[in-house]
Amino acid sequence: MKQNTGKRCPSRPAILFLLAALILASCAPKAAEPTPQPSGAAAPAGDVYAGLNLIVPNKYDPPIDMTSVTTVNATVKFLNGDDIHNNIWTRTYRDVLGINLKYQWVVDGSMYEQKLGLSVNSGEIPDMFVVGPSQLLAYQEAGLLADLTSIYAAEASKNTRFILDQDPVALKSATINGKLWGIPLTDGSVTSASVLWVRQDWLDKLNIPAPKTMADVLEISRRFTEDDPDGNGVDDTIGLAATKGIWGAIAGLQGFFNGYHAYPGIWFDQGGKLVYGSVQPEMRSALLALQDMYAKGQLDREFGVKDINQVTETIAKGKCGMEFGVWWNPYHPLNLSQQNDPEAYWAAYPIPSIDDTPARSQYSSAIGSFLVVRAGYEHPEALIRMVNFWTDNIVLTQDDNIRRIFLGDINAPDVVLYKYTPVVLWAPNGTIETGRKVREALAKHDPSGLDLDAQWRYRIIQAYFEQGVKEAWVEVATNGPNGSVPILEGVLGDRGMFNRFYGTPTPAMAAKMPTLETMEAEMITKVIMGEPIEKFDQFVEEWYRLGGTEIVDEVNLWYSKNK
Amino acid sequence: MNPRIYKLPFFENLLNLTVLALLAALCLFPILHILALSFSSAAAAASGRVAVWPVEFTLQSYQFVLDNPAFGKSFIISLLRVLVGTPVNMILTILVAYPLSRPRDKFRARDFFAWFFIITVLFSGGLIPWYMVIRQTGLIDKFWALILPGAVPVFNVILLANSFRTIPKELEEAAAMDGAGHWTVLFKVLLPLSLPVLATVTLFVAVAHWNSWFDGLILMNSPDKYPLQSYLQTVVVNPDPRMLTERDLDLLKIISNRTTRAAQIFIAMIPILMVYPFLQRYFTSGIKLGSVKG
Repeated sequence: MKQNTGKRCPSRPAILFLLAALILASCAPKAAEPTPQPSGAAAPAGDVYAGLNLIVPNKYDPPIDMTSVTTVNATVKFLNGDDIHNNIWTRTYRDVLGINLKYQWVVDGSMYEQKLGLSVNSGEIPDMFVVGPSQLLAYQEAGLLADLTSIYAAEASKNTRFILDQDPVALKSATINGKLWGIPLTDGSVTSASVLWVRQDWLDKLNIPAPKTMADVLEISRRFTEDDPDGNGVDDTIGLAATKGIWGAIAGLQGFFNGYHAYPGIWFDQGGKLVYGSVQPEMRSALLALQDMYAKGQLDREFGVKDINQVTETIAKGKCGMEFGVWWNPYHPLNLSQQNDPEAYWAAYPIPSIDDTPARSQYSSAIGSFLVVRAGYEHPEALIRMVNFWTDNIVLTQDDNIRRIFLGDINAPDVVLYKYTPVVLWAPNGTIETGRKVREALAKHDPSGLDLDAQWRYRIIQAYFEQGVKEAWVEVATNGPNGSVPILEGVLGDRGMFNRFYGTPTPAMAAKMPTLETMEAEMITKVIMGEPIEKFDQFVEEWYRLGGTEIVDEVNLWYSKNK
Repeated sequence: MNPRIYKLPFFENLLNLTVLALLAALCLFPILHILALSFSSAAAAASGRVAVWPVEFTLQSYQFVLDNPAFGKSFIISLLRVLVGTPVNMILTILVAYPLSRPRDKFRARDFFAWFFIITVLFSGGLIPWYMVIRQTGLIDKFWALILPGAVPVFNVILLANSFRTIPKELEEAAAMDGAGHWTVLFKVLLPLSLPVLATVTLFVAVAHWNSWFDGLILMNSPDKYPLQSYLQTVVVNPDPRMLTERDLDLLKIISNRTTRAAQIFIAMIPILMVYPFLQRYFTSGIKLGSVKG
């Protein structure tokens, strides 16, 4: 069986599908509009699975009980009559796998870790639950978790292995002392890499060529600030967006540093040893460049107090011309900029370099949580069967019916069904694979053979080029021929810098890293705002003194075992 | 010269008025801003064009809130919490404050009990023991978990006990001569004389009940049992920008929707704002009566 394309779920960027509906309604009336499904009604039990080609593992007979805990955010919506305790996933686990999944509690995502800590510490441990890296380590050391090594070896299906092996560090992250203690919840790692987003309409208006080097970026930043790109006659634009947190998926400066071959916050190999990017000398020149930009008014004078929402506001207002961010930024917040100014178009560029060596965009492992089983639970293999059900039937599927029933109906984009289960493993290369297929279809002008998800993306891009639907730019800027997704392919090749440290934090890291990170953000903010660059050298010294040396030793000890 | 009849010169009067008006404006501005946001279009709000007057007026946010059953549900839970929690707090506070306000020769163990209560103000058991006690008493996921763990607010007890002490004991003695027992003294003499302090303490506990969010998030086992502030907390909290992935897009979308947030925050403000005018006139004198003279 060969289903080797990492598939993305269809209904994730709900905005996108709302947009698609809008475009299709306005531009291709009736003809292309799919018949809406009665998405309000809960599917009748019994024949939901009829006609679906499901690969079903051994069913427990009689059914077994499994307690768990989960998160439900304020955004999660349910089909009529369903709730978190009774929905397509709980019914499927019960009727198809013979597992009665019971949630002991359900909490908002922001409080999950704290509530789990309280539960576990007061002795109320669920049979199966999700943990983060530090909890994995702590609970494993406390002997609370079941060893999954042999169960995984015996029960994991081919597709489960395929998904988990697609990310080379996935299983390693869940391995402590040579044994497997959890199933990592996989996702695309490379999708956390930054690209450079530039107001293309401003570039065109001011007749500036596309950025090829960091020198170009600095020049664009200067012109965007000084030459009134929004044409309102007021000196109110800035070149580059930045937030008080410095790093992040939106307006994070790590991409800028990458242009100077500096890799803040990640570990990379230098002569066989792992070094920490934030304390390397390459940081200096990037900091000096930012300091200069700030002095010339090209950064927000008040970036040091602006959080992500306030920066989003600046971008939406059309006062900012560049930002370093991840591939999906057009879905949010860049779309807001276009909503306020129909002509606005943000284009993605690979991170430019300051010299002849191509810049490498930094990214980290996407593995941030693990499915674990309580030590002493009678059916630890039930977890693997749930994972198998997901990987065999759902995540790689080309069947639009299966997607509609288990993931969400494309016509009801706000009901995202996979949010009802904690067992969700995405194919690590999904975004890239979908993008490639969409681009191939665009080149051939032929969407046949595309699954529904890719087809929608294809149609949206077509709507932009053929009907001039301006809102459709978000898809052009991501999955289009010159979009951000093809850039990620390069990052996955030799234009990326992977954080070589992954898995559970080392003891010194857990104890000291938060302080060191705060110190770093403070230093960077101060230097950018004009304090002498010697602050950086001082920071490096203090970093080593206040625990850095210890962390480096521990990380390299780990590295020697996990090369 | 008595400062009360001293009339300020015009200039200083003007200065006073200006400064006070500015202060009032400072307090009023955020509320007006939230109100204006809630009536503005999402695009206008997202691009920061709204100050204190709605831009592109729309009722969409209120429509959204009304259509959102989670908001209504938690609103009712919060109302219930205030309506049940405040009397429970007040009754227990009064019943604890009375014996603690008695002189030592009438209540020999008074100091022991006073310390017994005060120690809980000085030292806390920590989050996990707190949670475990509530769990062992079977309150987790129950409405009463929002009421009982904080049923005796010790700070308020001290306030009230001090206030009782300031009441001349001749009044009690006179009542006792007429055959009044402890209950009569408490309800017929002390309480009527302590109305200012009672109003203050009532306001404290009502506001505290209305505003608390953390216990709801931790003690309830599903979001449909959250009180209003717990629910709001899940809507207004900002995610860590470093941890954002494309899976969080729907969350980002909601969070960046400042108009619906504003509408929810504004509606949540109204009930407790309505309590203030009735109680506030006792407020300042209440605190002074209780603690300074005691």
